[in-house]
Amino acid sequence: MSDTPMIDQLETGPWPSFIKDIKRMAEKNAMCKDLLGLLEMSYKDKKTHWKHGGIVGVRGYGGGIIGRYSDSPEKFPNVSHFHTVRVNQPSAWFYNTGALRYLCDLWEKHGSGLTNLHGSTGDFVMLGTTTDQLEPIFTDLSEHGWDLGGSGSDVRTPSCCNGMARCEFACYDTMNLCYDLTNEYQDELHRPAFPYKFKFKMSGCPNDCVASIARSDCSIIGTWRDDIQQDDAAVAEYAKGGKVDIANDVVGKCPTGCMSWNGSKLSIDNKNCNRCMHCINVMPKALRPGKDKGAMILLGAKAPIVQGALLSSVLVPFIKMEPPYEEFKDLIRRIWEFWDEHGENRERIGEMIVRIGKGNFVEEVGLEPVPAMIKEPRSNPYIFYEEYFDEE
Amino acid sequence: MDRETLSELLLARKYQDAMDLVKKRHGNLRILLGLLYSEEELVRWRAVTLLGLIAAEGRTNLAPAVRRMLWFLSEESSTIGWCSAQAIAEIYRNNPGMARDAIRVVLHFSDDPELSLPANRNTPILAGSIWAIGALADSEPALVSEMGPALVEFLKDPDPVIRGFSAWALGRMRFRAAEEALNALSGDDSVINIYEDDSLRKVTVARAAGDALENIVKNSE
Repeated sequence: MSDTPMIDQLETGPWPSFIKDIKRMAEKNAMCKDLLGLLEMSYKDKKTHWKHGGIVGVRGYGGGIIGRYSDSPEKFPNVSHFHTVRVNQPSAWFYNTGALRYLCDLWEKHGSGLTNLHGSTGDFVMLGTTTDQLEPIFTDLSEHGWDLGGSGSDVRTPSCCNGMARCEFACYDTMNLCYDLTNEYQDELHRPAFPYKFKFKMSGCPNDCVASIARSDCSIIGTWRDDIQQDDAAVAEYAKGGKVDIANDVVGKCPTGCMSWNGSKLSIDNKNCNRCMHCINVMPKALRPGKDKGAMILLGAKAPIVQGALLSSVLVPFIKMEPPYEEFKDLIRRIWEFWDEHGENRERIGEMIVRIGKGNFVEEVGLEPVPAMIKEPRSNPYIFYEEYFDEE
Repeated sequence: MDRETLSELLLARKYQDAMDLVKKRHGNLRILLGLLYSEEELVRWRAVTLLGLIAAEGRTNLAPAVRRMLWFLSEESSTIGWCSAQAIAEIYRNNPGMARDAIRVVLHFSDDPELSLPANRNTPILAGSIWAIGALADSEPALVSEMGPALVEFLKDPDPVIRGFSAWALGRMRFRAAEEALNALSGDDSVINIYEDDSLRKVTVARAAGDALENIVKNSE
């Protein structure tokens, strides 16, 4: 009988199983063998056998390594330490095979050989190594041009969609901005000094393929401020022979009802378009984002840890996103300065904005309130009636 | 202000200029906290000193920074505060009100049964905690005296930094019960750096133990 009957069942489902992968590595790596044993024990005991966290790291950096220790080092000595190493991924996760081979070889040499591509922060995640291997790993990575990512209360590794590299909808060069911010904020990335984590995620268009609106403290989402580019001949082509039911599948699903179709002509009231991208996604040959492109800046998303989940909401409806991105960086400096001074320990920026009110936050970071900042009706009002109070 | 400018001021011991610069903008304090991770050992220590001076002046509230640094020492923070223990101790030494809650946690890293175990511990953080005990020995003898027995145990530690820092701290505490264990280090020629009086001093563990014994004997006379 197998030593791991419970986790063996995980291999019987319809999807590829991580157990199968670990077993394959277990043939040549003792850590993976013990990992299977520890996992089986967890399923049997109905509780985790990982202790929470651990204080480990490499010299000069405050983050990038996540300590992990098991509570059963006697039974499974090879996973008594099982630290995670986060490696800063290239913009939009473009690797060549040489790079991937190098990372995998390094990890088989110094760790379990198990990886997680990619962690929700975006990093190339290496799972399972021991404390004594951390400095050699870091030195090797540095010598080959790689760097660690962020963890803890620092700027997390910025990440982006593949934008202009592969997507015609991209309204700004997400990969360039991601690379630029990663270099600009090296100190903040590696030397934690914030109240808590701060994540940048960049999407080239409102389709938001990296889900920045849900997963980052600062979402930078491509948009345009003129009219949707429209090719009437291509619209007619879509309509011909019922390829697309424009009345129902395009106009009928426009969330703001800003479109109309008379059977031969598509009209868009661009002033009322909220850039949902639906019509463009359905008829990409006929409709395109406008020509005056840039990005909107949203702030405040987070997963539920200390408090409940939040989505980002608009802070700047439109900003030109071109190198060297000075206007954007100046805004980030003001935001950090305020959060740094007034944020409570382990308080994400979105939580702070909820606590102090968006109106106060907007004023403090030196922005003019605009209607686009309203997250939803009857919430976060930005209008203050100080004038009325003054009159009284 | 940038990291390099502040590092240079610290290396040149221009503390007043550095303090003026840090106080200019709140964000500059973050840069100073970042220097606690500097690759250059002296810069890290001088950043600790500057935080103490800012605390002594009392015009900048460092309590939020202390809370943050304490969190960096927590095993669930996914962060490592390399010099957090020393910085908290120095802030406390200069202005106890800013770090009253945190200081006990910092000191007790040294006798925490989990964190001081060789398998689990982080040596630089443990060393920072031991240094904190030594740094507070003069001004807060009652606070640190109970840590003496744990430090005596560390004199047998395999890591020379832990042995050397413990010897130094025990000397500053004038902990008489350490005499025998300190004597046993007389042939220990491992070299370590100890930060004292604003400077890094390169000494052997034997020398640190000898100095400690001298302090203890002087005090008992």
